[in-house]
Amino acid sequence: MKRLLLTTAAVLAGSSAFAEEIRVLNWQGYGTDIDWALAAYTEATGNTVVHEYFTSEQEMMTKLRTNPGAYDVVLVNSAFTAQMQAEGLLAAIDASKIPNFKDIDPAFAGNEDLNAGGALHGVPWTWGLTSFAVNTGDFATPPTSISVLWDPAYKGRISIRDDGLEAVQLAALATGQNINAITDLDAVKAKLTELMPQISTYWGSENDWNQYMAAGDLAAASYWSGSAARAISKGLPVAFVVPDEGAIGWLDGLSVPATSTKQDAAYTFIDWMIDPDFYVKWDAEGAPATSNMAAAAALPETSFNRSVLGDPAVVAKVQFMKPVSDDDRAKYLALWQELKAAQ
Amino acid sequence: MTGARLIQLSGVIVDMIYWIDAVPVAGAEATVHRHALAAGGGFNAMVAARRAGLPVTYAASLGTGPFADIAARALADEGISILRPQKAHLDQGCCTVLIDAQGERSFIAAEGADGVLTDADLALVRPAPEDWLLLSGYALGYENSREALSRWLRPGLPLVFDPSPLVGAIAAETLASALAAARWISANQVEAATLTGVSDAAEAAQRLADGRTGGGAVVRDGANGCYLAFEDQLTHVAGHPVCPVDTNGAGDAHIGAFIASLAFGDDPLTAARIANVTAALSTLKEGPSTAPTREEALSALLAAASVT
Repeated sequence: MKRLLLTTAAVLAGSSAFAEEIRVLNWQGYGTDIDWALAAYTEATGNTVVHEYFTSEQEMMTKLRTNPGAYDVVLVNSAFTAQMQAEGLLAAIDASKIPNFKDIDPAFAGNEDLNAGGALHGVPWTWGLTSFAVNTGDFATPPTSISVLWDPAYKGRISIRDDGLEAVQLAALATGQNINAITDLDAVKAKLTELMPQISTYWGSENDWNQYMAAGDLAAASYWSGSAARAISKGLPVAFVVPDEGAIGWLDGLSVPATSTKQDAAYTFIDWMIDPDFYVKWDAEGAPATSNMAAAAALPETSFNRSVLGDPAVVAKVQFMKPVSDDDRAKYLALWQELKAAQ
Repeated sequence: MTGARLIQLSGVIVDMIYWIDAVPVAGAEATVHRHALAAGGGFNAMVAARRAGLPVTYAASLGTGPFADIAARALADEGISILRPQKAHLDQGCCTVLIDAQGERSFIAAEGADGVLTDADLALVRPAPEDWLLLSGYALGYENSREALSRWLRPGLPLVFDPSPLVGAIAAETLASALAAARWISANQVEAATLTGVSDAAEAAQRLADGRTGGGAVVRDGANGCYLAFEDQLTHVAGHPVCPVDTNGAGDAHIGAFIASLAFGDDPLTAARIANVTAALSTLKEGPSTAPTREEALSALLAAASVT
């Protein structure tokens, strides 16, 4: 694979008259800026990579709007792709210039949000889930339903985050609703009202969560797939659950700004980032799940991103988050505030 | 994603602020020009850290009731999460703040849920090595939080201690537990003098920093900036010149920005510079929670550097 990749990259690099400097806009420490990967990419293609970081999606969009031509690759969460495409900030992707694109899971390649405006505007890169994990000390066999969070047997040993949107979406799953089109908010409210007495703490960080679980303070708690993978790799007695009711998904794509003047070079970098060779090494350092089926298949069988998230049946259960309107967000936050204050 | 955060151990109260000509004598009534209700106490430093871009968790107590609702809304509006369910049957404390025509402030404070911390509450506070804890002297003064805090505080915590104006009233043993645990102390000149018995801010900073492994002391000196004592070095960090409108909460803004800056990996001198600018910019708007963003503070710092 490495040889094939190098050949591909060399051909692509050869199509340019000279090496390019690619400017990448991403969260800091999120895959694209790993030293060893960049060194290998530069060695293979001659292109160099310069990073600029954002700390919020709003900041990322502002940078793209105010600095046309300054960036060649940008990390865009799928919930924001449609808005950015509508604003004309993103170029349509020419997948024929990305050899590894053929191995992207069709479920991701066909994602409605990434295909905003009727054309692909983000190459599916990584994804993850908000679901829950359980203490294996309490559960010899992991449960298959989210209803375990409501089980009175675990009263006082349940935790979720202090996050209105996440709480409402978890309750939407538990009441059999579409997280992106909640039609029965009363049912969500009733479900969350039943959940509140179960909760002993609102976990605020991975460290909180891992320590509470290690101490046996918690039996089950909402969690992120990437964090669960790290907890399991540290030897914590936890199992991540993608219940029958489904889970909340996020999907990150690599996009090319419409104003990039180095789009061919950008494609070589995106191809490098979705390549199984890169992903397998990144996974060993704690990567999110990959959208590339060949990359997932290349992982060791015990890898979380293969054994838990590499199953197409899991992907099929996921409800990927769409943008939440300001009105809905305000409604959910007000509901959450009301429930917390009613204790 | 995970990373550093600020964990606030000091309670949020609700300030009932009255702008008046003069504090009335007993039996008289003041003429009120304006009034406002706002979250205060431990809130202001959290806001400064949050606006600097640092995630913040509120680990002191939130109650239930009309004042607690105001505090909870303010926390949510700033994106500050709470660590524990709200305490039932106990409202948040409140503070009547009288601001007279000369800008002098008088306070009448009553504690509520903000003054309660139990051993079980504190058992849920599990700072990661990269996290920062903030504790003010107010929490050490309250009858229903000081003992649990004294038992819980121990050396090695990533703790910043703000003695607060209450410092002189804190029981010696309780105060000693906070001073022993603190990695950094951030005090104003009066508080530093109370703690050390030394009125010179520079010397007080050195004394407060003495023996503090991996940390030190900041003595805030209003418009003059601050004194930073760290690793046997004393530095006077000049203030950022502004024409202040309202200095209320400037000390809290300084502390929040200093912690955020350290959390982002800045060295203490840089953190003190950013804190000075943040505190100065916070005085340009009326109100106690008016800290600028980190970008605004850095821009002002760069602009000032290019002038000098």
